[in-house]
Amino acid sequence: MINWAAARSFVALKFRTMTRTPQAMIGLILGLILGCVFGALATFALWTLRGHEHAELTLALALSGLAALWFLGPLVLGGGEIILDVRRFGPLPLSRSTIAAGLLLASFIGVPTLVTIVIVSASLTHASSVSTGAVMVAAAVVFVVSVVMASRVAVAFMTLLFGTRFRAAATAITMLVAISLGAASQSLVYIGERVSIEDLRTARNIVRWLPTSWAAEALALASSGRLLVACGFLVAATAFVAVVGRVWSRLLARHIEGEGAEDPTRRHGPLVPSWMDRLVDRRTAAAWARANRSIRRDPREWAETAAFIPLVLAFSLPAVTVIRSASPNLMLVSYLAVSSSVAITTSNIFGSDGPTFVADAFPGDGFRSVLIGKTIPRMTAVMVLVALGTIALARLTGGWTMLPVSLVLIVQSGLVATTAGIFVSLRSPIPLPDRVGSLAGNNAGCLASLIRVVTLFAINIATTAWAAPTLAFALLGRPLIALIPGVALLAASVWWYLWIVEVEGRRTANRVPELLASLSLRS
Amino acid sequence: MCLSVQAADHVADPSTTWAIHAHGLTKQFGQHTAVNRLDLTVPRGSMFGLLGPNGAGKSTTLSMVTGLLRPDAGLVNVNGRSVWPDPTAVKATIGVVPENLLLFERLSAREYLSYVGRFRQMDDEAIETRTADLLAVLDLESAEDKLITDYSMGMRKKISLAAALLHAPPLLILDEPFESVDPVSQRSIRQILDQLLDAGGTVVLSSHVMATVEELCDWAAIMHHGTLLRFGPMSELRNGQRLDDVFAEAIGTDALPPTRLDWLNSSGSADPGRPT
Repeated sequence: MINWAAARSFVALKFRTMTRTPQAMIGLILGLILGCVFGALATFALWTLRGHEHAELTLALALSGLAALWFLGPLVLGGGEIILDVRRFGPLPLSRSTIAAGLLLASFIGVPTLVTIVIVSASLTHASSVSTGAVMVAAAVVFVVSVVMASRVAVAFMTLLFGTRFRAAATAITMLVAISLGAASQSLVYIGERVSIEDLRTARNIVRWLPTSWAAEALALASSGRLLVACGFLVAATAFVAVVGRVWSRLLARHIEGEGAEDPTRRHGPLVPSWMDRLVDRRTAAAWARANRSIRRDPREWAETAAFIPLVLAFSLPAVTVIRSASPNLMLVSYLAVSSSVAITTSNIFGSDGPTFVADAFPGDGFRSVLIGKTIPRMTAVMVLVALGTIALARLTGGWTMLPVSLVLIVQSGLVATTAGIFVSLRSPIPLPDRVGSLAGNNAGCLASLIRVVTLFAINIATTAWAAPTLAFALLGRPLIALIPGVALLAASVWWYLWIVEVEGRRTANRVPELLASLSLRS
Repeated sequence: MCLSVQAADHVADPSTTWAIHAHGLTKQFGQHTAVNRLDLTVPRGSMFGLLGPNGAGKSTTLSMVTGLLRPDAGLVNVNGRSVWPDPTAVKATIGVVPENLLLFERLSAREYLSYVGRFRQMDDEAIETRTADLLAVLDLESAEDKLITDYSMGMRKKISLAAALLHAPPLLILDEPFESVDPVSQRSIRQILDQLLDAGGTVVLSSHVMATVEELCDWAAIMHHGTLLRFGPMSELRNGQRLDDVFAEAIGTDALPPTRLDWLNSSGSADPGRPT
């Protein structure tokens, strides 16, 4: 039994929440503007396609793509419903069907739904008669309901089946894929230029087997007057909506009536691996192991580093495509990838984790162990990744003679960037929002990003200056001689790193209250 | 300030003398049994304290009683109704402050209470009057337009309590209600609970703080490892002893073994971390 008055309150609640703060309002307006532009372009495209020989094919693929976006959305957004989390309705006397109806109604409040409705409505202009129009309207309704409902199921699945860590990891991975695809747009255009109508037909023949595409198929088929087949797909799409509704209802029950907790009897591995204890002193090993653990558990820790790699690869695609004729000197600039990535990950190690940073400190040695423990995993991960890329470049260009000096530069710039990152991090920590909900009211705003960009450039200039003697010899065609200043400066980098760690560690120990206060925007 | 709320909006079945009756309640998480065949009766009109160390199963029990967690086995009756065939009906007659305070972060206190009232199908006038009263009594008036996301833990507890009280339930179930709440607000909360009891309501609260339970509750139960160890009227349970002594005796930690923490004796030495 659905309590429609309560279900309508879901809509009011969502709208109120979306417009509650000026920041949220601005976001909504910007989203609406973008949505309107996108919707208008799509509508124009669909309008001009009317009567075109490939209109049906285009309509089927475009709407199937739109449906796919709805299912991928929860993954990209972390799978959690931030505004109307179903668990918040648990203590209230609302039946499962009322909650489902309320959430479904509330889903229609938002830019994505609005844009979808505009696009689907625009596709109705392809109707050539009343009968095709009637089938298309029915298919359009089923399309909108199915994508909204299936997206809710995706949200419920993500929230219920996987923990916060998994969802954060899924988000980070999806973002990485998106960044890679976006940055590799040149390749996509290259592929796009060579796609034939036959390829698109093949794609449609595959995509139409997906239940999420059935409503789109019904719309497309009806637009070209193939009403019988369209009705078949429409029935299948309606059945799909019914199945999705049932699955969603069960998932809601799990949300409202509790979910399983982690088995406390599960065994965990050793906190500090024995090889770390052998490599460094016990305190540093403890800090190192903890940093490794937090990198594994919190994708925000590794997403920045990981995002850098596809960016570097994707933007160098044009060079890679003609790499066989390129100069092996390209390998020498790989140190910039290391310094940029290390600069991003180490230049705010205090600001991003201040209280834990302080808690990790050991009495007597200041912050030396913490600094080493926290920076080693970040630095080595980037060095190893870029070194592997450089070896691949050596293989492609045949520039094996440049490999040793490139590897020396990688380690050298990693150390220099880490040292500079530590210095900046402890001199100018940038507070990060303590939780997602406070994003609007409690952060350093665009200034934080600006400071980090400036830091990134400054650190790159510093590492370039440090690498200049080595680079000069290498570029003059003397890679072996370049190893002499390279190794000497590498030794100096190690010394500089240890010195800064010692000095800044001691200095920080005396400034903990001031540093923590600088992280608290409330104070 | 006196609340205009009376525990009469939802009248419990008068034929029963108990507010909660659970029998054979069981919940497992993987290999871990959180609650093991628990039998519990909460008399109507009582202030009932549920005690136990961390991980005893108090919150799991309360979640099953309030329709927030489906038990693996057993029966629960609340106000004369069986919970699990229709948890929605039972939720209408109870107010809950759960362990995990899941609130609508981007609403103000006033807006939050207003929506809770609407979801509980209360009329607008009652919502408005009661919201004003509750915000005043719980000292949230000055922060009523602040977003809940910016509230301290104590304020979140208070707004959650206000939401639980809004519909004047005959049974109020509170998981650690005084945790992180300042002493002045604690006093206000106690007065509200007393008022609810005077109106014939029942209050069940879980707590680690023995003094609070000893002072407030007239009935209590002690849980450990998912089972009920002691249960009864406070006077009988205490039997002339202090409640924390009864608690320690019940869960078997009345004294630490004398040799267990020998290493603490080296705490005054120059290097306390080095094993001797």
